[in-house]
Amino acid sequence: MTPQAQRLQALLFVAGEAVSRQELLTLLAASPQELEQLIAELETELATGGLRLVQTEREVELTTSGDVAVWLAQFLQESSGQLSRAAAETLAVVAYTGPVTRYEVDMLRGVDSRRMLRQLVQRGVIARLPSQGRVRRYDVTEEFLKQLGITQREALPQFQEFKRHEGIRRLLAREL
Amino acid sequence: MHKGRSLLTVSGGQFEGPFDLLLELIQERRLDVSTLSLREITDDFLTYVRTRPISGELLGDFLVVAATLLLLKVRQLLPQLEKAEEEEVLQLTERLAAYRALRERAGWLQSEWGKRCLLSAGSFAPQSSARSEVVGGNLAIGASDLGQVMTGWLARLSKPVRVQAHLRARGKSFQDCVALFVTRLARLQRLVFQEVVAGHSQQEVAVSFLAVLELARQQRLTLEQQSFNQELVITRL
Repeated sequence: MTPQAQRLQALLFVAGEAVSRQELLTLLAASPQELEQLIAELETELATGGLRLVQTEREVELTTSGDVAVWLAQFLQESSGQLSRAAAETLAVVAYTGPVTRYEVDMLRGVDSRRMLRQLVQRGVIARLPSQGRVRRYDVTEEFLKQLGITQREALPQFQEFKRHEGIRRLLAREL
Repeated sequence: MHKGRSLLTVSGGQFEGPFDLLLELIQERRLDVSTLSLREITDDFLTYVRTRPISGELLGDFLVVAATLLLLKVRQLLPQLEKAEEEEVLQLTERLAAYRALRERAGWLQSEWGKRCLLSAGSFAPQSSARSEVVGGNLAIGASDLGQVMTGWLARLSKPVRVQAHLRARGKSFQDCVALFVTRLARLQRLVFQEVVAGHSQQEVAVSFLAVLELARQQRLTLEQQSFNQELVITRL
């Protein structure tokens, strides 16, 4: 492993939680392209071990791997709690089409989703993104990925098929 | 025409929203999602809305869909619908198809949630026999040493104050403190908490702090403190 990739690994280890890409750029004095290369290098190094990198567009976190998750679960005191159907539907919209506005969530679910979005933000599985103008968008967090045992949203089943769903693209009136 | 048991005769049947109900009615009749199938199940849908208790939160959403379904029925009698109404009917069909795909994904999320959690550092500390050693087992300290330390500490504690009178000074009430901050913030955009409560008794400081927390909860002000023991800045919203 290159020295910079080692530093990245050490930083993520001592942080013990998600670190923003912006912060990593500063701490490592790296360019965005260099950071992506370091992340890719670290991912390759970790591939056969008990740890993984969980990534969203905004953050990176060092976590245990899905391979050991079931074995580790026996030591956990509490479970993460179940998902209600309403929560699962709302999460599905945000995960598969995010970043997404509340209006778009309402459009796809057919119901007012304000309260559910608020609950999911409080639960830490989605986040309100900094608003661009008057529009505020939501997206899933690394906590969402960790609860499902995946390292990035593209690993969601049928992710690309859902994104290319003609009806959804037309309803949201945008290129996904 | 479908005959026999309908969802409406099933005693349970909680639906997450109108799309959920529409899909169930369509699937019950083994239909595809289309304007034709929507027309088929309109009467069942409207009966459900009329006869079942629907939470206030969802009622508006059910009524919007009911109105669109009625448009479909009207189209049978008046084929020349306005273009906007035609589009509304088509959009409902598209939304329903999208919702069906969404519901399948949601089902997967529900079934997989929490089954293979990835954990961060420090999520828990596994116990092992090596950790069962007594911490500090090599300290050269005995019971008499501890006794001396305890005696010295007790001697340094101030004696409890014996209450001499029945009456005690009455400090500001919670309502008084809320009113104080509301009045001051009406004049000034920004306050520093420590400056406002300077010279107040401990009790009044505590009650004042509760008052600003309550005002923050009501989203009438924001609180900001750079770090522990620094100025607590109150800004009117």
